[in-house]
Amino acid sequence: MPAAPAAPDGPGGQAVHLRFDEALIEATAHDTLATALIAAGVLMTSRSPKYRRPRGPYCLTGDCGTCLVRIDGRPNVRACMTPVREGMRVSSQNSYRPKRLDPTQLVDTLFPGGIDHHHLMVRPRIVNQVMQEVARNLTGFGELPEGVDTSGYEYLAHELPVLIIGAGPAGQAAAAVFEAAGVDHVIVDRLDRAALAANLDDAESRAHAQPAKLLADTGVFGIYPGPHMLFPGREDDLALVAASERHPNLERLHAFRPHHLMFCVGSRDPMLPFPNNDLPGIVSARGLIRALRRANARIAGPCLVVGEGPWAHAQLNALDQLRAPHAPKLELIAPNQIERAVGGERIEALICHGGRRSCALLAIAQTPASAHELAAQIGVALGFNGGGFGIDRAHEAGDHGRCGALGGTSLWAAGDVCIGVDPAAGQAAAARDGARVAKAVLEVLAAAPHELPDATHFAPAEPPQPPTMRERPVVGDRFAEPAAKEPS
Amino acid sequence: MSERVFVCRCEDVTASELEHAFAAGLSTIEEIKRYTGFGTGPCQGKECMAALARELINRGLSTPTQLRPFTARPPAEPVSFGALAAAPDPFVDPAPSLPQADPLGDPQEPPSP
Repeated sequence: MPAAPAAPDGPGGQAVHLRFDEALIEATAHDTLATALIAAGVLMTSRSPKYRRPRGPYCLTGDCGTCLVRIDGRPNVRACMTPVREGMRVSSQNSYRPKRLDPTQLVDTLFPGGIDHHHLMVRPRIVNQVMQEVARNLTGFGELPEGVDTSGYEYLAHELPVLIIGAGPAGQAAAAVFEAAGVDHVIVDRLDRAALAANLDDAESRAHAQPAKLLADTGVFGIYPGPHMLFPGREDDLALVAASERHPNLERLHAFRPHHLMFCVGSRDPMLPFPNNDLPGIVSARGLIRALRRANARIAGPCLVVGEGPWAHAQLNALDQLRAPHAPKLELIAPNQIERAVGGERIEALICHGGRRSCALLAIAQTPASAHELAAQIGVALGFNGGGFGIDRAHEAGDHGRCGALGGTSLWAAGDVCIGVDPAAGQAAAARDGARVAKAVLEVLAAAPHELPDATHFAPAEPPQPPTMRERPVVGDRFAEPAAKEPS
Repeated sequence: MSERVFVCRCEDVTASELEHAFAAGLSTIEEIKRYTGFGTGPCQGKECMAALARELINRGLSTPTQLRPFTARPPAEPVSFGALAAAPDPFVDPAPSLPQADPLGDPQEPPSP
């Protein structure tokens, strides 16, 4: 196995052992599955659905879909969001064993010009049917779970003055303002507490206590109009924010109904198009910085950073501080210098106009794109700012941070998710923005004191039981019909 | 391995497929999504939409004021059917009546390192 591109920095406490396909992997207690695999030199975790190319973790923060693995019989789990556990049984998805001899990679060679599905084997119909059958068996995301799911499920409903989505610098600064003012609030984030701490660039803020009302591991997946909003006279019903809180054997569904909802969801790291930009070992620079910090690991092999401008330089400097003393110095490559990347199961080198540079990791430092998806679900005004689509707060009068309303819920936004907040200006700028918007929310709350109820939290008296699940054999891509009808 | 430029890695949409879409006269993100299938994989456009938007602008096919993202729908984060099945029907039971003592506690997370 080639040298690992990253290595733990000093003893990381007790070692944790897990199995990835045939390999036994030793990790430290702080590792996520993704950092443990990278430190062990395993960069490929799956094959791509169409061309069957090797793929591995890219964003390292739960955004992209290429580190999905099967863990303890459960398919499609994000390796970058899963802390390691002793005895974890992990397997790659979408690939045949042994991976090196995967015959399906022929697809990539058979269609050098690309698969044009608008014209490929559309006629005659019989050929189309055969092709569909083959394609259906090749693609997809792993196999069905082993056995019936035994996790527990819970439901909690909340009605509260303020809900903050995202516990980055802006969200944490806003939570601090509400905490100081004694306003009941909840702040949710899909990342766990260790990742949230590692995401802060400033060592002093990392040592600081996390918000008191923080719900970590809780991903908001949808925002809906309140159930009564459709009825006349009830148009001011509160919006319903649905989130899922994940624990190893428990998933909790939260239904928040906030009077004020703050989007502090930050930004994502988009991919840069260049030939073979999908090789395992090509990762997002910001994701790599945060993953290394969380796992207390260092870059141990040659690493290149791709990007230009102040953002890329900031990422380069941060990564260079996370380099092991013996590792070669990091280099910054401008995107227009790239000819192509080369490698197989992992990146080996970058061919530039100036020559070949070998590397074990290639960190992409593109200008971040605001995470607009949740706000877009409820029609918040968006604009394109050159990096991606962000929330356009200028649509609301005064620009205090308000970005609209859904029924009786006022919507606010702060930090990187907004147009006009430059991620390159640093996390302090986002934190100032978060505090500023939180103070604007306080003013609105103070103007209407009767609208300042304390938070209430409910669990249903008689929670509906999840339907009983039975094992049914799968034949082809269908469930087999039960042999006989069960007696009623 | 052949040389390919990927725009959407979830659904294996390459730059050459975008060229087909551009050649067919498509210039909005929604149309190109329907034609190539980009953004329909597990990441739901989180990684690829910005890259396509930049490409449309670089080629002069669109302007920042014209560009709109494709429709965003739940779920933006994974949720299991089991958890959804645990929720009461909001029309039947809009405000369940048993107050919960400490909604943010239990199960406790291990202290972060």
